[in-house]
Amino acid sequence: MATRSLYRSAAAKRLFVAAPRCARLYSSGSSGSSNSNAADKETHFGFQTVKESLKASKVAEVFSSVAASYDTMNDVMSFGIHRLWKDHFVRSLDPGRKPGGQPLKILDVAGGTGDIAFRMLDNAAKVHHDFETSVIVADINGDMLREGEKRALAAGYLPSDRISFKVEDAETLNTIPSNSVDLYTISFGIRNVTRIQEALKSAHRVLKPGGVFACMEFSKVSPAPLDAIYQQYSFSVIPLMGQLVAGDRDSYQYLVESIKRFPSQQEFAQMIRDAGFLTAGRGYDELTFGVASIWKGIKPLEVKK
Amino acid sequence: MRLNLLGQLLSHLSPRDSITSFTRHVIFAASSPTNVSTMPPRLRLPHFSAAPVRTFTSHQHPPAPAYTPLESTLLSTALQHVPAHGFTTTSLHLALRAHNYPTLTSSAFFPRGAFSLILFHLHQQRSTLKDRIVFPSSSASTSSSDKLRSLIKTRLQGNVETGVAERWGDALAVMSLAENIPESLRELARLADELVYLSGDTAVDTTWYAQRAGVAGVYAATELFMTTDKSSDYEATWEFLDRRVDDMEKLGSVTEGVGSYLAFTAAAAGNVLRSKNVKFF
Repeated sequence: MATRSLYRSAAAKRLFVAAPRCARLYSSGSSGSSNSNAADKETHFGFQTVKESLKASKVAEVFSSVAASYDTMNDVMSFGIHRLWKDHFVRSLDPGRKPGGQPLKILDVAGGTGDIAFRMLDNAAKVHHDFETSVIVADINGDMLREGEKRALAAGYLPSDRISFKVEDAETLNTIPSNSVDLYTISFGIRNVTRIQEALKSAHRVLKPGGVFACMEFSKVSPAPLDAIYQQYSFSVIPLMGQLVAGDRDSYQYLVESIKRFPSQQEFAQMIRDAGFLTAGRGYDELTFGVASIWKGIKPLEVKK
Repeated sequence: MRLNLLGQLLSHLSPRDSITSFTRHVIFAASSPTNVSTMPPRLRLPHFSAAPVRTFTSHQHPPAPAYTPLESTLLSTALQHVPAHGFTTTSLHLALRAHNYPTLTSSAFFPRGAFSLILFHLHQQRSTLKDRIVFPSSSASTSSSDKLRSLIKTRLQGNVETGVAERWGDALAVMSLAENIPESLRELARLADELVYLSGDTAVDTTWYAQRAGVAGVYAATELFMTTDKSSDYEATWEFLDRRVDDMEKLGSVTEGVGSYLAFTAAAAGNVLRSKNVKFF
């Protein structure tokens, strides 16, 4: 019943809203000129170039419009594989209080709907019998956080002090004190951050020495024949599915374009090292031929001067 | 005037100039990734990774260290825990604690878990092998199979000296997991290459492959035998190794014999056909 009404509202949206939204999303130059100064640097939004001050609001627009159908679309687009990736991500980190250790403070950035946060709490509780480890879910988008809060209440994580939701910009993380977090995770989020290097620096700031930075994001597929198939799929099928299932083609057009624009595995690993993290080996692990990758970094115990 | 024009034309056509301008153009195109990334996807050239890949090996250019100093320290400490805790994440966690890192960092430092520890041990043993065994310079008389025998023995004794020999069966089990097989085989190939090189065999003909395959086979068989060997000081293993090296020698001479027999027979058959005036090529 719920899904049907969701579909109906999505279909209505598709009929009436698609054209104006298209105009709104893709005419960045004129609409942005009023409130941005001339010195404002430019960045990319999908394949477009927009003013840096505008990107955040555009991304916010995308995620506000997909918040409700976010999970359904993830399942449809990835054939459910995104659940395996997320499970693997959390299981490899294995968060929770270890014998002789302390409960952890976890910061899940861009974790609006709580996918990763719930999994981490489950891992702590079920594997380590640890009910003290806590997660702060930070997201720049209030709509996504409300979706996450709704789910946390439904699944019984709330009310408790194990999980809290905060509106927070990944680039600054203003209300998170320095050296306060054991584990920083960002899953399919860093792609949408305007200044990625700033976000990495903030991650470095809030982590305790010896803390772990873990990031899961779409990456480059190899070998080339598979990549060709993947590109076809992502540029022709995903926007279409976005239109049919979520009633929102443009947001999913942005999704595939932003995936294409994200740096390669090696480049992003280098950015992580540049932000001051230690990485092991090449610094990343590929999932499903590199459709997604997991990067991990460690904040060194002695910070280099 | 005309000469001047000709000169201009020549300078325009001069091959050197055209080449430099061409290369400059190419270099410019390659060194401006921002330009490339703003292009629509269909126009973009295939992206090649910038990491330099060395397609040659040379003993004059030692390879870059595979592990950072911190990784080496952590993994060496973890290896000291192997006799007690085996090749497990427990050993890794103990090493992290000893160096004040939280155990949460385990998956970030060692993405492949226990297998990372096994690979480190294999890498250590392989890279220090050349220092642990030195053949006297007058060893020209020593046959290469005798050298191989003592090389393999020294390599396997490395497992005994570090105390991991008792746990090596577990390590082989981890190495034989599907996800770890490619890297395990690669490491075996590297070891075989090292062993053959240290034995003084620098041949680059077709025996290159046969020799390495043979040595890898002997090493792997002996290693496997060693995991079940209960004799004192692994006497049975060394006897097993002697027999395998002898086998390899015999096999080598048999293949050689079979090869020359087949070549002779083919040539003789050809001659018979020729004598019968059959045109066969």
